[in-house]
Amino acid sequence: MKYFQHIPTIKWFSEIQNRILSVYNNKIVPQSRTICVVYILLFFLSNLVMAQYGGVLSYPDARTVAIGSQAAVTSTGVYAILANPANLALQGTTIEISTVLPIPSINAVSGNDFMTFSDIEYYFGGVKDENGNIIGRYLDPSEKEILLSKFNEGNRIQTSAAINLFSISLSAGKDIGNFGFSINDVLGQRTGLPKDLIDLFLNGNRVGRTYYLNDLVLSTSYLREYNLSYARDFSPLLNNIFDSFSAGVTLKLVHGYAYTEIETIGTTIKTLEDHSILIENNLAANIAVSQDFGIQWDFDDVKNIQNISPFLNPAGVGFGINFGFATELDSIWTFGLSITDIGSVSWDNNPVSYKSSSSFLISDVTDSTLTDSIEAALKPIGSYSDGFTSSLPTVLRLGASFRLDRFLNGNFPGKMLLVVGYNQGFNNSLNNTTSPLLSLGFEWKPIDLFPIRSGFTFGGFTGFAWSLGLGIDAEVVEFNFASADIISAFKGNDTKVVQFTIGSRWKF
Amino acid sequence: MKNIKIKILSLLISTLLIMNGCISPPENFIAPSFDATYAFPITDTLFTLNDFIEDDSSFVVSDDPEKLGVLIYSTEEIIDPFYISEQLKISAFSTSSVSSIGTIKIDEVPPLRTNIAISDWTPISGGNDVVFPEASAPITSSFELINEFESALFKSGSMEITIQNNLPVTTEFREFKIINSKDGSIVVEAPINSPIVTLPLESTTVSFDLSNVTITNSLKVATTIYTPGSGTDTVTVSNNAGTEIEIGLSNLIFESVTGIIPEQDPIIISDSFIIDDSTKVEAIIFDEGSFRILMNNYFDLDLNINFEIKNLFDSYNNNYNNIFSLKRNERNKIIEIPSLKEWQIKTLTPGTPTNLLEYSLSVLIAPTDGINTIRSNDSVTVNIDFSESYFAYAEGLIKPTKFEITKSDLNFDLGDFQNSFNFDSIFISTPSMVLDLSSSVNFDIILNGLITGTSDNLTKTLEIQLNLPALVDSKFDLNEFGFTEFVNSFTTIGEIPEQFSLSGSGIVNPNYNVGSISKTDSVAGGFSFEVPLDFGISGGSFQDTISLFDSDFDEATIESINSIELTIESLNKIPVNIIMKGTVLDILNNPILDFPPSYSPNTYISLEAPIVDENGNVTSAEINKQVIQLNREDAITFMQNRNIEFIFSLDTPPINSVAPVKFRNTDNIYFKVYGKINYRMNGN
Repeated sequence: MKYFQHIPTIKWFSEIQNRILSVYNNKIVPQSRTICVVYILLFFLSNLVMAQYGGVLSYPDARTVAIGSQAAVTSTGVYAILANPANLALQGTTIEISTVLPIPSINAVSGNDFMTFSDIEYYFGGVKDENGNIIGRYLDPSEKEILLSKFNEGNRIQTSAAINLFSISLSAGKDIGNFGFSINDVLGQRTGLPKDLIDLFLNGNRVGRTYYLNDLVLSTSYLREYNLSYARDFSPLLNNIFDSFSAGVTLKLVHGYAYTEIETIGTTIKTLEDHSILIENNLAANIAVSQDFGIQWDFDDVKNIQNISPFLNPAGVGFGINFGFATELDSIWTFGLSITDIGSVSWDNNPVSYKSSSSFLISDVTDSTLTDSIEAALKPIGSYSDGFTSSLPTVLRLGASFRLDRFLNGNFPGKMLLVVGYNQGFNNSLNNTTSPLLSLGFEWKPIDLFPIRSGFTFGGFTGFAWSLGLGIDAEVVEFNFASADIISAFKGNDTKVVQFTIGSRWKF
Repeated sequence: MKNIKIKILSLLISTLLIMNGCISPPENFIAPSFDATYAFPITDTLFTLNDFIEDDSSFVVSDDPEKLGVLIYSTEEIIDPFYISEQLKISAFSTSSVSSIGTIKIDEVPPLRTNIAISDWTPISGGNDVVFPEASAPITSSFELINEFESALFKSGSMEITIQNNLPVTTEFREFKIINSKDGSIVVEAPINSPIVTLPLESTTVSFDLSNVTITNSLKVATTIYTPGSGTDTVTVSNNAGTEIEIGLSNLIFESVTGIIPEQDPIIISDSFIIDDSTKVEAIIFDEGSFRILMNNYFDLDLNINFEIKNLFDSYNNNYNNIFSLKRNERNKIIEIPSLKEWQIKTLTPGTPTNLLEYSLSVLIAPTDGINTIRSNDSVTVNIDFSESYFAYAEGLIKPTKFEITKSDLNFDLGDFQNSFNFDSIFISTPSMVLDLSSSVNFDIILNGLITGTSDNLTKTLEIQLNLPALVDSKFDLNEFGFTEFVNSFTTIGEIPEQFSLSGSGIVNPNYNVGSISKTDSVAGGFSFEVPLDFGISGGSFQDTISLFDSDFDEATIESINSIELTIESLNKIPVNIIMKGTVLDILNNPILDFPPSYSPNTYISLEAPIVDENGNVTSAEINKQVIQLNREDAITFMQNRNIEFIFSLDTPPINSVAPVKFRNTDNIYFKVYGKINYRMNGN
């Protein structure tokens, strides 16, 4: 990456991101060892494989992830608050609590859509020289072409994490309904590398060719959402056609702590016949960061004081709503529908915009003022803006489940739940995709204590994926572990994604 | 419950181990290395000659329509002013004088008398009638004291002695002598055989010459008085009968006198002496100098001196007049004016310059209260000495005065270029040197100057004679004396004069006219040296070491270079053909690589001269494109050693001639340099 960083736009945005990330790494870490571990892991991965991965988004519900991220039906109890609040009404226990103990509920994913770990190992693992020292692998022209061919459109590196800090769901009986409350932190970072940039790096600048950086994506988001849910069984209103029919709604208050995005980019680099290099820069970026991070902007002389605490002063505030429906039929079928994260965040607490629309012709590298001139001409100019909004990752979730063991009247070893689902994102916000996700999955409980879950997903962030997970259901407490793409685990280094979901919840 | 916990833990650990084992990120993240070719511009620059000289005030642009825009190397130097005041001087001069009193003046000496009573030498007493017997007796009788002196030596004079015989008989004064009582010396005496005979009751006067005679104030007469008596006759001897002697001194000219000296007539010395034989002044004002009067008093008397120099005036315009005393016999009395600054010598007859200094000395001899001796040859001496003196101002007829021109240098400083530039021949069209002189001297001046040009191996001189009128600024174009040929006598044989100096001498007032000059008068100004860049060079070469890169590249970066290709496009509109051939130098300045190397498509860098017309003006030029290639080894050497010693071969068009071409400030070379570097990107 250090080569790319010489390109002014990337250099500048990397600086901005690093400044924010450095605050994450240096200041948040001391607050909570658990969160610390998560952040370190995430940012290690994102930094480590920034050029390699794209990802999928999920919620910190390891059970749902293991079954295929269908969510509309499979997220129950405290997890229903985020996926389908109607499922709160199906809660079989009185109270469910999920918090950082015994293990936190976390969903984390980091990956890319263009390079596997094997590729990384091959290209970045180095080789031993005659002295046994590890050196960079030399790529001959054909190998360079192979490497370049791995990059197509997009070339996304996606890192996302959702951490459930605290959730509680309470069943007050069918007449009153069920309530839920949760606090979650949602982080995301997405980098998109233009293929031309890679080509420029690998092959140098060809005379007469224009290199486009339009596909450059550099986005970061750090949100905290406070969710309050209510669900109730409305089956009597339907004349008890269904065993149950519930509806639920989650109202969410979103505090945005950090957000960066490239709003527009049309930067091109062209080497003219006389080898002079024309850089046309067209960039607009939005940034909003909690003042408590103490970020010092280059255009503002006012000293911002860093004041890190568990509850930061938000840079943006948003509201959202989840609503959903769920029904059971014959204790075999369950159907669910939800639309989640309808809403947006308004980043209007000292938001910043950086813009640049200029061009510069490098024709004389002997000019001692060249560096300063390029920076003066191309460096985006920052200023406080009137604010901007970012959409929440609105998703339609449809799902159905089928209790095979019941259908077979118990002629099945253990309990078997088959599920099918369809998720459709409505935007391409940081943790979302408009690529639809179709999932098939199951949960098999040979014994209640050890549920085994698996599923297949098609579409979404990564295309086809095989999810797998395990659970330990000790009645009072439940532990779940899952991978949304166990194939990648089985692939070993042939995967492009690292993902895991873990969680626990107390059930009373 | 314990089993459950163990199972949970086992499952958790197993899962994590499985997952951890599935993905094996590289232990080392090392970016791959690969070769890539990057095209880059190096420079795209139009160098005008103006760019080269913009910070060099030595170059100006000609506004002469005939040479519009032609660059002119111009340098000026202030000439160290030469002040004529150093020559405004007179040598030390002096005079002396001796004067004696000549005539000693004393009060008139009244007659001296003595009376010889009859009883002193005869038995007869007065008041009787007696036969006066013959008688003879030696007699001595003292005169009255002389009050006017105690003693005197006469140059001349006479002593008249009158003998009044109041006796009734004839007397004879035999062996008559006047004797100084004090020492018994004889003042005068009558001849032995010539007694002074005085008849009865009559008187006899005899006169004696006093030349060389010393008389004291106490005289006595010594003689033998003889009388033959009255014979037989009775004569009446009166009561006052006796002989009276009276001395009268007259026509006295003293050789010396001892006694109470009365006031003498003053001694007056009035004289003049020549300041300078040729220079006559209306007035001069001293800037430096002194004079002194040295006097000796050979009188045994106190003297009062009145000394006056009539045409010497002090700073208050008072002529010099000094009254002072000399003690008796005082020697080496010095009266000194240690500084004559602002004093003047003026003519006493305005309009008629003089070279004389007139003075007078009056010596007054006061009467004494005690006994002193004065001699006729007593004298005073005076010595008047003027030291070598410099003038702040002189007006009058100043003699033609030669002076030396203070040497002034004008450096033709081309800096390091001069040391690095060699050539077979240069012909400079019209160099010029102009002397701009300003004289504040109110006399004409002739400068017999010498322009000395010095190069590494040559020293040549050019004689110039400049007439510089009084009080006029004058410019002298030395081309009248052949300066162009003088300069080209260096350049056409491969030498560049590095320095010109002006020296020589001058003459102030060569025509011996009346005028004036002051010490601040000078000849000042400057000389300007101009070389229009209108020249031809044949076989010129210039050697310079150039550091090509300002940026520091680390060793790893340099070692990653596989090759370099540089393309140089140039359009030369400077009327000179330049061929550049370089040698890369190591840190010890040892040559290690030819640049461009021999395998390169172009083995030298050529900036072809444009076409010029017969007047040396650029008419057209063509783009010249050259490519330099460096293989890996040479590229690394090139990058590791930034110093390249270039030899620039310079010839003005047409080649092999020295026909002058004109270099204008707008003449330019357009450079476009770009390159490609094949570089091994290495992520280590």
